[in-house]
Amino acid sequence: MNEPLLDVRGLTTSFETGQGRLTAVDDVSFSIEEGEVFGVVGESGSGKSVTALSVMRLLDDAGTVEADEVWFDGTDLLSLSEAEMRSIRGGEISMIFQDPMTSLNPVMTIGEQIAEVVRHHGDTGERTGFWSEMRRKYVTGTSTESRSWRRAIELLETVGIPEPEQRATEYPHQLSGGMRQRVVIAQALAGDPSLIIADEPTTALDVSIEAQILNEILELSEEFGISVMLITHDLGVVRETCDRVAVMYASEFMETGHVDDLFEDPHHPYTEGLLASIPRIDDDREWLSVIEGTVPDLIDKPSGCPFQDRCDYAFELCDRPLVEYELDSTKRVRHAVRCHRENERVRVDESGHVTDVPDEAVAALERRIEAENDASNDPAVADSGIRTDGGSPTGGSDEPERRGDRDEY
Amino acid sequence: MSTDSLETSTTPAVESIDEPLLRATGLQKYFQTETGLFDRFLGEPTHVKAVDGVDVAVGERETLGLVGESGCGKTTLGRVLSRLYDPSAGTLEFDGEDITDLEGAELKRLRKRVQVIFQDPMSSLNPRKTAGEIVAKPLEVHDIATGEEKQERLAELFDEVGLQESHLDRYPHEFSGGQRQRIGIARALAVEPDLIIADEPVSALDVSVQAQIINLMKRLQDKYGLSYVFIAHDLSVVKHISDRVAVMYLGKIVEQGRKEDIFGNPQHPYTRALLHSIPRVDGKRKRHESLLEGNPPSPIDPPSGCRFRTRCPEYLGDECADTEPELRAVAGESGTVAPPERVEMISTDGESSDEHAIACHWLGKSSERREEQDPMT
Amino acid sequence: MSSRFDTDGGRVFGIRTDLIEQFVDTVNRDLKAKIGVVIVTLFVIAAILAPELAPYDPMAQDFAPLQAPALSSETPLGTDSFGRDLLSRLMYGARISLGVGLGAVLFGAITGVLLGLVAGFYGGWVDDLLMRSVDVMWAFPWLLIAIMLVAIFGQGVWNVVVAVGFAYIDDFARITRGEVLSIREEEYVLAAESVGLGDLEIIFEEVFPNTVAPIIVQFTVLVARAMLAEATLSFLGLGVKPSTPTWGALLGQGRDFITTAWWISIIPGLLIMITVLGINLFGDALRDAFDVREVDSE
Repeated sequence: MNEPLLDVRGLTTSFETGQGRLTAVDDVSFSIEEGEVFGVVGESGSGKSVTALSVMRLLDDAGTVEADEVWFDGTDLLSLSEAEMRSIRGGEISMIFQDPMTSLNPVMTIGEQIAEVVRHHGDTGERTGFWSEMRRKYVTGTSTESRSWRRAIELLETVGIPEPEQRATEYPHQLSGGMRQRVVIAQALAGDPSLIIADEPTTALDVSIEAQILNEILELSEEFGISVMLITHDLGVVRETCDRVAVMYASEFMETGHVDDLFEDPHHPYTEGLLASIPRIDDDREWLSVIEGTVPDLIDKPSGCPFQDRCDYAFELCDRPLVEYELDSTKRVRHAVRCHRENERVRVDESGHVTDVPDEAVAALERRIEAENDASNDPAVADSGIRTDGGSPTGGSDEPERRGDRDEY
Repeated sequence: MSTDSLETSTTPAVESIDEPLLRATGLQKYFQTETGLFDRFLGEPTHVKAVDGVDVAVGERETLGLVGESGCGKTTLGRVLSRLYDPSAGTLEFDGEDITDLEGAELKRLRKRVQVIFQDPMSSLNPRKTAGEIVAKPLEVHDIATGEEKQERLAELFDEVGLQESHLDRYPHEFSGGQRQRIGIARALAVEPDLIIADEPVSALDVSVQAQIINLMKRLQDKYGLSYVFIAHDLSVVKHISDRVAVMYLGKIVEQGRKEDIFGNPQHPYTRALLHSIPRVDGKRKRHESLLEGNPPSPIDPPSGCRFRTRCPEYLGDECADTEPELRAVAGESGTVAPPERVEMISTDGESSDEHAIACHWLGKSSERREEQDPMT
Repeated sequence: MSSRFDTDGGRVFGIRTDLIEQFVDTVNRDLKAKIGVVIVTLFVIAAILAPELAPYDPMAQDFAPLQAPALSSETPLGTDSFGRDLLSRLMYGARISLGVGLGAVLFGAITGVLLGLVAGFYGGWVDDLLMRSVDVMWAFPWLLIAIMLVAIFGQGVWNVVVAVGFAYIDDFARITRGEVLSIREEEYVLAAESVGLGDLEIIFEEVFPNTVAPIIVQFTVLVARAMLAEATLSFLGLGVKPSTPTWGALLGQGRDFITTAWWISIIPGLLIMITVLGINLFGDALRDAFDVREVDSE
């Protein structure tokens, strides 16, 4: 398999609050292949948006982001300067947010807004200095003859907006919600991205419009080979649009795998519970099953599985630190679960409940936790385990620059 | 009050329930659009026809699901049904009594029997009042209980909706979304109403919490013999909780019937397209085409004839633009089609119940011709 | 254990204890808030306890006129042109200034808030009528009203209170109306209606408590402005009787002696400045503490 487009290892984001330290993203690792649609599904407050914002380095000073590594298309995002990062945002990686009204500037025509992005990230030969932009904004507007404007019209057409020349001269409030979200997508395409991060792009829209927008995103992804990271709370959306999916709960990725594997053969009790709790259009149950209890407090989060208090299958290992268990390799793609029930030495009965935890299982787990701790404390091991600039797994000592074990930005 | 003339005061084409608890006939609600001082002198005022001639009925101990996209007027209809808004035209009957023009003390008596649960569990609770004060209010207003008795009743209500007594003294911002909605339910329950109108009660909640609230509402219905009008945009939720369903589009009901009719044998092109566009978790489909193009037109100036014709994937012809179709019973009529592939949600024998009705010109036409034209079959 | 069912949720004199705690928190965090609280507290203590603390009768002309301030042990801040002790006059003056400030703003607040509540809640022609009347009041120069009142009723504390307070009706009416317009859209107002509450109950139980925070903040800011207004009126000779000690009057009386006895004007002037600043800082602290949105977005 090729290099993944985006490869994130050990991402942890926390916020200092009046009550203590809030861990919003807890040691999350994932990768997104080229042309792939990767879903992150979770309930509100699970940390899925913060994960995206952390990768984009868009959190303000309140948040501390640490990561072992964040590789994007051969570039180490952690080592980039703020200016370099800015050119990546809206360029190589662009974002689509939930509310198309607030992500567009209400006092600028939509054509103007898209043309601006085109100029900043493309090679149009037009001047993009402060005064040139000011002149366009306040005096002349973007010339309809200019390349950036023509490109803006093209993009509007690409995302299925009828009469793009006419629409380009209109303001966001003149468009419906669905149309606005299309404009946002056009804007996201303007920088010719290889990855689009879409954060609940259809949550504010009606089902019929939602279907249109999801379709649009998928078609664009296919047509231009753009990878998509789709953040949503809607399991139906995930099932229909994603290739791979990660289920997030209480700031951690609980289960990651191919969307069909995950939905047909969920291994994590939370995934299972979540799937059983949604009212489905195709079932006739009288009572929905319910995940009892509430999400744990993320302030001063204890170690161990965050789901254990609500879990029907909880057993004695659940308060140990979580590690990732990889399920059998016959699956289409890697299917990984963070639940100690998957420890191969732990015995589980038909119903999924743990019957016996042999000492060797505990010992194996302890060895593994220790090994992982060592790995993250020793930069050489951390690097060698994954990948370096060239992509070949080397632990070579001749690396010109050696990053610390955890970069902070 | 009813200065607006009833455009076409038709008798309901479909008589569904013998003695409904709540019945609306020809209900309209128009809002005058915001105008400046000068506009008021010049020209005609424009109206948003939020609800434009609706007949619905809710039976005892039954749930009527009301679905539609945003802006279709379902929230307004809910508020008119609960008499929070005054209808512009039409009549409302509750338990055999005409409640269209109730005022003052009589309206207050109605409030004891008809209660409302709101969508936004944050905005529907006064941030300056404790949960206890909020739930106690209806008890005080209707002189239901005072002193010791009130406190006992409060504890009972909190227990009933799954909150603890220690929650009584807390303020809304100290609760999670699901808990806040439980407070809203306790407030509605306090007066022991007969009918609760729930406006998108779970759409602001997380999926796992939705299940808790839906189950709670069902349990309360069984226990107290409540009737619900359950308003939602989420068809899966509506299907789960409703006995009967009405589908709204641009201020009108386009299809109604028993749950089995709507989800097992949908006939109106809008219902069919809507069902088709729900993202599904069963994995039977990937990346489907959207059948509903464009956006709903403005309710200020709805399209002539059938309001859905501008987006209809099964557009029939001039007839659709010329005359407005009435809600007519489906049973025994031609012009029906099998449910679109992958849309049958409830297995039925394809027979419509007596209550199943649609407002569509295809009814009475050739089923074969419709099948040819239908993109879904 | 009766408090187990007590739905009052912790209140002191009707003010939620958590709001008081928030205010204490704000003051602890913020140096500016601390300064504001200290100044306001000193000012209020001086005003309330003036009869106890003042070394002399403010009207007694015991000393030679224009005695030097020189921090003498007898008259720490010197005397005025009639030989009255300036410190005592300032302390008594604080009573008048505070009284007029509070009274005027209270008058403006009660009238304005009521107008704003009714206008905002009912909207339509009621709103038009009330708010256009407020516009008219606003367009009327308050100084002119003051002159008219003095011309008709003569000088006096109450006339000052009404003249100054009149000017603040529109501030309160506008702020309240604006708040009511947004609160009216909240679902809990509809919920209260659905429960069976009448209009008056809804206005005073559901709407008004949610408008209080900005009103209180405006209140403190305007108390400072009212004190300045009172000073201006007294300075111009339109305020209270000339012999009554108010800061504005003291400032005005010192005008003629500014070259020979600067302290008569400068000290009241400085005090007015410091107190107004203190009250403004106090108002900022209240606003920070009462900002519900901040609390809710935890």
